[in-house]
Amino acid sequence: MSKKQIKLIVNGKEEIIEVNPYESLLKVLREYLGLTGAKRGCDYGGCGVCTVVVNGKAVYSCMYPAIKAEGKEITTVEGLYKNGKLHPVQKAFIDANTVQCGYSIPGAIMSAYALLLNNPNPSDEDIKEAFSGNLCRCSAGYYWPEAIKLAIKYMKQRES
Amino acid sequence: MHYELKDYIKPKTLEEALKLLHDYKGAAKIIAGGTVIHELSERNLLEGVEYFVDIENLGLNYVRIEKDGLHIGATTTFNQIVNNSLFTKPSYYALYLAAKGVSSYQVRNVATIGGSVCSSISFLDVPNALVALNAKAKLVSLNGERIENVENLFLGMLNPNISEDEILTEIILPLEETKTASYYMKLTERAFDYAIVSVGIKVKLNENGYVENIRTVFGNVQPTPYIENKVYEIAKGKYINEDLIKKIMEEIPSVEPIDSINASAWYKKKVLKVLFRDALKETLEMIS
Amino acid sequence: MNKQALIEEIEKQYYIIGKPVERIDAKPKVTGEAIYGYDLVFPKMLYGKIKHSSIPHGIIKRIDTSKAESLPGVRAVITGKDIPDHRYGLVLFDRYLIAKDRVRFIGEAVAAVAADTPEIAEKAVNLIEVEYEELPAVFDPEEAIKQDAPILHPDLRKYGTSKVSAPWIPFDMPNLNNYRRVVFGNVEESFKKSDVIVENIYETSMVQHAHLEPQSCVCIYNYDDTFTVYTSTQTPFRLRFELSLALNVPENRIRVVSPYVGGGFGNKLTIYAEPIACILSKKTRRPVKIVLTREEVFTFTTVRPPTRIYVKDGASRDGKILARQVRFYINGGAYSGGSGIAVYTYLAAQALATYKPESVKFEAFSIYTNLPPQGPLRGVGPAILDFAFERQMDILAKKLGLDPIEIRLRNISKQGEENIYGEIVDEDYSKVLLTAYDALMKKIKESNEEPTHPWKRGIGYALSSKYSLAPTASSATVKLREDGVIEVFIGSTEIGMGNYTAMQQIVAEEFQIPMERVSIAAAADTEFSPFDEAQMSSRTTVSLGNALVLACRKLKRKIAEYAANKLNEDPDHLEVKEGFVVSKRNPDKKIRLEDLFARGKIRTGTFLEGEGELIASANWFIQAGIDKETGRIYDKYGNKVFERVVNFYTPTGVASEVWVNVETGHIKVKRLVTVVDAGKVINPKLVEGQIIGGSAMGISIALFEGLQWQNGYALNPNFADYKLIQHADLPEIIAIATETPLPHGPFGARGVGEAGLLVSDAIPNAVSNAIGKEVKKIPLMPEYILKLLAE
Repeated sequence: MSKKQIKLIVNGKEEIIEVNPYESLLKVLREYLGLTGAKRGCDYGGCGVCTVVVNGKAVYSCMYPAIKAEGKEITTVEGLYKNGKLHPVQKAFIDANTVQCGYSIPGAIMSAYALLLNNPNPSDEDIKEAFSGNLCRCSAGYYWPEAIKLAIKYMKQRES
Repeated sequence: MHYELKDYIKPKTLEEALKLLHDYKGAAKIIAGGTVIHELSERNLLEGVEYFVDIENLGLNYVRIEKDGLHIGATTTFNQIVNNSLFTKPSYYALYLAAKGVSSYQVRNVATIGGSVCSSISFLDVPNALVALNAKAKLVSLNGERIENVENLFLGMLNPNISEDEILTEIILPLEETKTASYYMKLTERAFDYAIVSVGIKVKLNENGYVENIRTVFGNVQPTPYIENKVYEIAKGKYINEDLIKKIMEEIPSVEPIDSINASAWYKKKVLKVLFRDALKETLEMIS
Repeated sequence: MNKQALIEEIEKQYYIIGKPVERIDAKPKVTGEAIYGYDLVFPKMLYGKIKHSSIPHGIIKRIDTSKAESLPGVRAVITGKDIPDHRYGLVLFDRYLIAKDRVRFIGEAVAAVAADTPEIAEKAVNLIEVEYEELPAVFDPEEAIKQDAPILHPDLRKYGTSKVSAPWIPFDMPNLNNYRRVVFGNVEESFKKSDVIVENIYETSMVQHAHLEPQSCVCIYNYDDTFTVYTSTQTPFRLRFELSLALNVPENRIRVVSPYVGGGFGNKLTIYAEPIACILSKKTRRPVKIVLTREEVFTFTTVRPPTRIYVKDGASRDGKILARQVRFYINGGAYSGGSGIAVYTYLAAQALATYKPESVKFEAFSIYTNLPPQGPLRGVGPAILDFAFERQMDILAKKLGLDPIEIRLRNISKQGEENIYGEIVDEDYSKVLLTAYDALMKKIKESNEEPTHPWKRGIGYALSSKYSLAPTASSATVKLREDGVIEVFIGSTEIGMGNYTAMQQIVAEEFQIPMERVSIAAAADTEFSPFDEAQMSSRTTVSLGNALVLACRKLKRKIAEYAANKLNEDPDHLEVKEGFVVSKRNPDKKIRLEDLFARGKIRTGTFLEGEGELIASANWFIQAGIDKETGRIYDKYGNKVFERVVNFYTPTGVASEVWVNVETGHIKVKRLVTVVDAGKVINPKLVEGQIIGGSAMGISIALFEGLQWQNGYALNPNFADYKLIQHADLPEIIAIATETPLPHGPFGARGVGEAGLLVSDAIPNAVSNAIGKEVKKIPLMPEYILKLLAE
């Protein structure tokens, strides 16, 4: 089997890498690009800890072929933290008390980020759907909706 | 991972894709959203597969109304369906609900309507809803094309009636009809989950409010979507009232359900009746 | 300290104790910068993979590794032949690292490989051919104790055991591997006096911890014949000990380091792949990483065992329990599972602490079966047994026409008196129950939401307590750094509870300095960190917290003594606070902590004269144990042999409202109040997080969870079919921490990490209340509810 050269745009930066045809986006992010924020939990889209945003949509990077991502814009949790400043969603996740072991948090943050990107004023039902693919054993995501509400507030503050 | 790939190919045209499938025969597998790959691999169903042919760039992502029906391109994702107001119309509402109820928003962002049919999994919602809506599928190969009723494409669990060199290019739903509504309801353990059982219904009433047509599909009752003809037999030409619903409930399901890990046939039989009743009432409410 | 003085201490204004300080690990976790075991990479690293048994019970006839060995990229293949020739364990030494001759469950390791990539390793594992001769297998504990049952461990009596908590097998019973009894009073006599007798059989399912970070380790064999093990563990020290037994290498030649841990819940308290990776590393002389797949987590690691509980209660007409007789059968799996064999047998009985019947006879039987080994899971035994006991309370109440709250209050162990084991009760059980009751009633009154057909409302309570294991020790070291920061060395891991934050708060409190003036020096590392038993059993706040308080007080004294000369003041009159050493009688006499350091002679740094460091260490533990025959602190002659059985109890009161759909059997938990007595809340945000998290897991276990097996094969070892509660299924949870000081807790604090899980014991009561039928097993699958309704 031969490696294939592909171009990805990861957190705004163009990356040229050689990947094996079967490799997932998760593997490429973690092992080739050193972006370990997206976690591995199950490998078949069952837990959501690998969630990243591809062209504005939250996807499971563990079941997303790397080559499929070619030319697309990928945002990982690392991409939200810029110039030493937390993204409003990240700050909201801290303030809403979501963090325990932290393993589900990067994925949940990316689901939240994608939600607000596409829907700045989500209903309670929208929030539930947005997190329908993210498990969390420490708190089952009890505080996530609160984090969304806080993030909306922080984003408005940032704009004003 | 029980497969090894020589290449992952992203053809730009349908012709190119068909040629790849033809040339590689069984060694090539179509990939769309990619959400079923793991399941296939775990069941050793990817043995001998050396190429993935990604059909994302074939221009099959569309929803358009044509003379003969509503055409949905094969790579249209579940969330594109959910976010398209066309599908909240009563005639198509079952599909909207089925797509919206798929567990995991992340899956909804990538899983495609074509892929949901080609994977042939009986507890998935979208194919069940498509059968309820009398959907047809267009399949293309280098030898030509065929149009099939979607229900004819399922032979068994993960076993579609689609040959190795064919691509399902689009799903065709009947045009919107008057006095018609559809609904999809599933019973799950958790809020977002696979169906223990599900019911898809499409009802058309005549001018006087009597049943002109009713189509009912049960999911996860058989290894493939199960069309419950009993409902039509009983309700045809009748006015649906509580008594009639009760009568139908006594008669369904007309088949012994398969057992699942989380539910026995006994349980499925009991709750299917309830689910059918509730789904039917929701459907009728949309017509009135 | 008398009670009044204690209360005064609690009430006094704290500097930082009780404040909702932000977690110190929050920022690295939301930015993705926190490094977990799964993330570690080393130069020259190989990837290991384990081959598991494919049958539940059998003899290994032949293993052919030749195809795997000749696969390009494979660097080592090992089988039972390559591992030490002795069995290991934590309590009972019953297992080989890799099966040598016999396999006893399908997850068991039979071979392992190390290869250049994970893909090659997986391919190689699939090329290993194993031929078995199948043996009859047994999966039910009561089947396994029948005389003609297949015997899993014919040589059990010859196995080695740990010197402490060794299993007790006082009689011959096939496959029995541990036993505990509690005998208090005379149940036969009490049954005779009883007006009502309620006898039932309860069942609980196999539950998996499902921490989201699978077990992950990198093991490195070093040139000096030592091992360095980076692993996702709750207990670096215990792990080192168990590794030493497994590898037959002295503990001082093994170093265990634990980075951030992505959840544990009890499953990361024993070794899994670590010793195998160590052997592969020694063989290849390269670091070897093994990460488990989700399926391996489900089938190769430990589980909360399925159990069957026989309870017979006798009570008087006024609701006083006179006799409680219990037989507890633990489906213990194929091996002892680290401490699993001890916690469900020995410690589960502590569930009896909440109430004080006139007499008790309790027997626990831990039994080998051909399933994965039992291992501790958050809340362990009490979470299981209290399901049965709390159901019994409701059934008794119903029979006697009593209110469910009332019957509980009539039977609780009272503060200041002895509980059934003879321990003096420090806990106020009525407070947590009544607080929960009041909060739920208030909520229900405020809402005017009423269920309509087919939904039925039910209210259910549970009162219970989670013990904290003893004796377990924690050591702590604190040191004054040249910049005035207090540096803290602890051997506890951060698995999510926020213990690093709480410990930092305790030190900040002792020195009256801001959080940023305290630094937790490093991740837990057996080479540098002081000893700590484990991050388990709700023990860290009390054990490590106490050790830290003691160490801080010692350090303050040392600092005062050091500063005495400089300030020309008696150290007894000096106090260390707010970053200064200051005279109590002349506040002008003070010195900044960093000014205690002298500048180096050629100005390259600063130092302290004399011993060169201001550093202090302390240890804390509590002595505990039981008389085996009675299961109490008194022997059968009434002599007191111990003061306590456990460290403390954390009382929990739960009030829940559920709606049940009588047509489908579905259950909606509408409202939940979980009240946990925290003794003294160190950090309300952390305590609330623990109560909420425990409650969520409790709902999940009550409603959804069960790892299912058919003839020894797992049916649902994945997140699609093994159902963990999702965010959308959570009700509003009201988490309340009451504060009844624990006399020997730091600032009066108790541990709260597990108590919330006891929610799983209230929901079955609420469901029974809704449907008018008595539920007797969890999880409460919709089908089970419909079956009950159809009866």
